[in-house]
Amino acid sequence: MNRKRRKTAVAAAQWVMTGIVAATILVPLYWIFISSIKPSTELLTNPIQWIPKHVTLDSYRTLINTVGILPQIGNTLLITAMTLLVSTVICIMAAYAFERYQGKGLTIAYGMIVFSALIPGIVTARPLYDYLRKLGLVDTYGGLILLYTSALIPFSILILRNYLGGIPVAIEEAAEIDGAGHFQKLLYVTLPLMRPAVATVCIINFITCLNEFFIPLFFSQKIKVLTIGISTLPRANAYDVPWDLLSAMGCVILVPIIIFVMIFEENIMDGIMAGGVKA
Amino acid sequence: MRKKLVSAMLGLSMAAGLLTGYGGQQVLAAESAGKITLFCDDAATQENFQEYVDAAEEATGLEIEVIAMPTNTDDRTAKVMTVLSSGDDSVDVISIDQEMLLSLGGTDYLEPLDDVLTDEVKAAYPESFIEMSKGKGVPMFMEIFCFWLNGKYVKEAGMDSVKTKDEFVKYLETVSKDGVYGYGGGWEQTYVWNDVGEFVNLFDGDLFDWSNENTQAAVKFMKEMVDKKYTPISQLADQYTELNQRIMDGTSASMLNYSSFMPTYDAAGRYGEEDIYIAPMLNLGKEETYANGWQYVLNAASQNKDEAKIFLNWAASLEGQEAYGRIFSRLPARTDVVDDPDFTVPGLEQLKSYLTDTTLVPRPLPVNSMEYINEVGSLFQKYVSDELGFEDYIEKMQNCMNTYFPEETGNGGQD
Repeated sequence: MNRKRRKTAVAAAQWVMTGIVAATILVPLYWIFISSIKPSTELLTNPIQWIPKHVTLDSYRTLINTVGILPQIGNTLLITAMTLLVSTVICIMAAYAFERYQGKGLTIAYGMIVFSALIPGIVTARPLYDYLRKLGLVDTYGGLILLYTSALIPFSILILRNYLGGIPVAIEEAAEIDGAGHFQKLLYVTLPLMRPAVATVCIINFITCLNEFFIPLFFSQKIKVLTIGISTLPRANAYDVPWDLLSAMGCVILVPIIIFVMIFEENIMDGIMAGGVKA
Repeated sequence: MRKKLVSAMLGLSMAAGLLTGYGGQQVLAAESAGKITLFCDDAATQENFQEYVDAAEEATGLEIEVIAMPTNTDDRTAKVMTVLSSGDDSVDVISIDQEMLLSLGGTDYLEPLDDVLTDEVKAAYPESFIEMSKGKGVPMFMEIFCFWLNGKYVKEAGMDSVKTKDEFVKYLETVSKDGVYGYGGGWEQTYVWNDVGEFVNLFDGDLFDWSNENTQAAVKFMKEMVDKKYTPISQLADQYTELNQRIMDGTSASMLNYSSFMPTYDAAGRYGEEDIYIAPMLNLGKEETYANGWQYVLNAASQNKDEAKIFLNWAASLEGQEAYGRIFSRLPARTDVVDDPDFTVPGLEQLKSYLTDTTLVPRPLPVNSMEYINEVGSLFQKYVSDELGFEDYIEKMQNCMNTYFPEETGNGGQD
């Protein structure tokens, strides 16, 4: 009986904790959503209106007609898709090389790549801007894809290499005996086994690309992505904060991320756990 | 044979297309006075910005490409500084605010505009705006720190005007009840320096001298408003967006705020003497207020300086300023524009009294403005929250001024 009671108490405590955590996350999301559908004159009323008195889609209309959110969505998807493609191919090959081959040069290169992730973007922004300007890559899709890709590489290689460490070399050796070359071993033997890690990396990188703010802010002017759209929202003057438009923009950015995480939640956790076991 | 014929025809038509396209461009180039790129805040904030660009193109013969600037202050500053400091020539004309002009005015990143800012042009602008530009900026518009009233409460108080100190105190006393506060401010740490400076102006104080009786009287008055519940202490967390909501809700019956919020009230159908409106400026000892504005500057790395100056000449002209004010419903920086009887923007009649009767002064800002703004805000918040006594507050404010304005305080930076 005691045991049963204790079990019930533990379950209740778990639910209470889950409720608190969920509320901590969901209440701000709900707040953002209702702010996006309230008229601007009712945004900050006191006491707070948890259920809007008047509902309007004006903020979303402004985003489409004035801010030009549709081209921004297009730019974001194009850059994200190309970045994911390029970075995934590069990182799979790099991780394979770093894990399966030995050499001082490789160790140093791996160390430098991982170390580069520790350098804050703002430190290298100015010299990088000069460099890209000389190459004619500032404010181009090519330049942005290059920068996004380089930002994703350290983390992706780290996860993929660690995951590869858990795949027995013997499988590849068996393929080698059967006459498989380096490329065939990677493509037909190892890569299918790496699918959970590759999926995880893709999903996390997708979210990272959607949230990336620093690169488009510094390195593009005419090519606008969603995160930059937030910083160019119409406002009455320098002192005004357009909370209604900010909230609507927040919802637009959040929706694909929430959908992705809901669909691929298991893959994300599996990949991170597997990739994070071995340092 | 058929394939070859089709290929030949396609090739011919492509060549013809290219040639006609090229010819067309040549004609355009001959007609156009050149091309410039405008990196502008208005392009993001104003829905009808293209109308302004069209007017500029028609008047100057230029082809103007527009890049919208981030409207968030930090992002905008980072972006503009990167472009200018790297010698990037992809933008020619940039719009910047007072804070950035202060930081950049003394650098070589901006091209001097002596041939645009002629004596005749300078004479048409407020002196403070020309001083602020340091010969490198063309003022775009003017926003005035105004006194706003709620007509409902003025009527309730049975008053004809709220202008002098006695009238203002009477207004505060009468309307401050039942959850309504006579005065509302945006007293968040980075905003309250506007109110502190403005009350010092209105009491005829000296922001650089905190031993001045009027300066001290101004901040004492602000503290008394909190103590007597004429204004809520909770506004220490409020910026102007929250303040606007309180004014709209009617929980604050007056405020000091920028004229550029007029379209917000106008769009909500709330602007008017029966509701929320700009009243003539208070005179609590002196009728003086802050005037602020953005300016166009020319990128020193620009490859199109002559073309950019054609645009800047137009932007500084009576015609250009009229177009700016009319299209964006803003008060242009050129004071002679309002003399034109055909020129009108919402609230112009009320703002005219500011141009004629009120002394307009620029906001005093040091080069490292954000540190200064934060320090002034932090000290004031501690004072009204009783964390700092009056004497301590005065002493710390004087030290603050000595640090940030060594020349104005005659302190040479020594405390």
